[in-house]
Amino acid sequence: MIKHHPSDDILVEFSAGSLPSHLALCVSVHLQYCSTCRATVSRMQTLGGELLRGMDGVELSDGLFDAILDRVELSESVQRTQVVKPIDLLRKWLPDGLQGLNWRKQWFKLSEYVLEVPDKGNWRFSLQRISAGGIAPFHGHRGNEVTVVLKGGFSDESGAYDEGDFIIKAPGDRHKPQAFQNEDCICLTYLEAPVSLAGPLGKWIEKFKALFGSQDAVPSH
Amino acid sequence: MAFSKQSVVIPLKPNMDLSPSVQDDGSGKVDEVAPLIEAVSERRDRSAFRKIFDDFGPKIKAFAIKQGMLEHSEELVQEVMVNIWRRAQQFDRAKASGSTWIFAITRNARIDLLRKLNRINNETQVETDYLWSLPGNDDPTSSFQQALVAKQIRESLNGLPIEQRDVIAKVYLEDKSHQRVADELNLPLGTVKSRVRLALQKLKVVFQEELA
Repeated sequence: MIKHHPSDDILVEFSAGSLPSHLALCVSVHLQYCSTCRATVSRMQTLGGELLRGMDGVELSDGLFDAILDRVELSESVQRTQVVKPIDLLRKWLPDGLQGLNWRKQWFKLSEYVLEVPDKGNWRFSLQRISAGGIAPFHGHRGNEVTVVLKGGFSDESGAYDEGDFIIKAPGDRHKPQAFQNEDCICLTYLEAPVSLAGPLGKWIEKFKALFGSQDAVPSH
Repeated sequence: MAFSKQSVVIPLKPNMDLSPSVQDDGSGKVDEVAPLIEAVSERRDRSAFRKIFDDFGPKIKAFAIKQGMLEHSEELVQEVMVNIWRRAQQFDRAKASGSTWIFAITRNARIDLLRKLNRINNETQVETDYLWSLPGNDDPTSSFQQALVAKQIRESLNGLPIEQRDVIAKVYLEDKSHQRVADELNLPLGTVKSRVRLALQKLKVVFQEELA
């Protein structure tokens, strides 16, 4: 049962197409699980359609329609475009689903599989796995952290999260997630900026990292 | 909701023989765009295509200009029209009204064009149509119901206080995040969000506080 949804603000920006693309991808993954949000987004898109329809038009150049007809005739003679079905949004990175991934250990019970990182910039789009019953280190956030639970579940100070749940932690939020006891928890995570470790040991490690200027190395695959 | 139980129109399957027209369940009277898209799908009907162009082309151009894409506004119209032609078979009255479908195509074409022009940062490599689509198979609502929802939203839009309508229009048609709208109108972010929320509730797009 899905209990944690994107806010209406996020769904509106999703429907209007103005959400940054990774956040939109996380919302899309949540929508695959959540019929409630699908219905909301459907109504929000209907509103978009009505707003478009209600606009005052701007005159078009002569010849535009003919140019369009030329293009459709050309494409008609080549081939019909295949119907695109959004089956699995993450298949590009995960052709075999969640099987056989080369996880990189990050902390005792926490591992990561990187999906996409930028050439420039700090964001990080990855899978995070906490082994059954394991606890991820207490950490804070410098930017938003968006999480969608793909498998298993976890709990933290503010609640319990199951498959399909969508969670945003804002900058400044800190938490210590723990996977449910019975199975590994795998989440899709988009980090706008690197997390910072919290807690006494974590603070010490952060100082150490700052001292040596170490950036998290990113495995290539 | 007070809808009568209508029998559901069988959705069009790609590649099937499309000679018989979609059953008329009355939704065409409420949604006059849907039959045009279906005519394009079934018969490659150019006069129907032209009607869609005459009706929506100028609005799509206006939409592009509002988005700051003046010099590419007719390019966007072209892209949208070509996509309407190519994808008409995917249109399904039971899933969306005609203008909703055209809105989704316009929104995605706009994102693709911006991607092509390299105007978007931090871009993922996932294709736009995957990203912004409605996945999954829900209970089919009747096409009549879809058309009614659209009609009801259209009518209540007129009754919206001007400041709510403005904010909604900016968020939807000018591709602005709540934060940017707030900056532009010189309003606190919370005010913009609550105006949008009130408007969405009045339009019955969202319902009162759902359980968090």
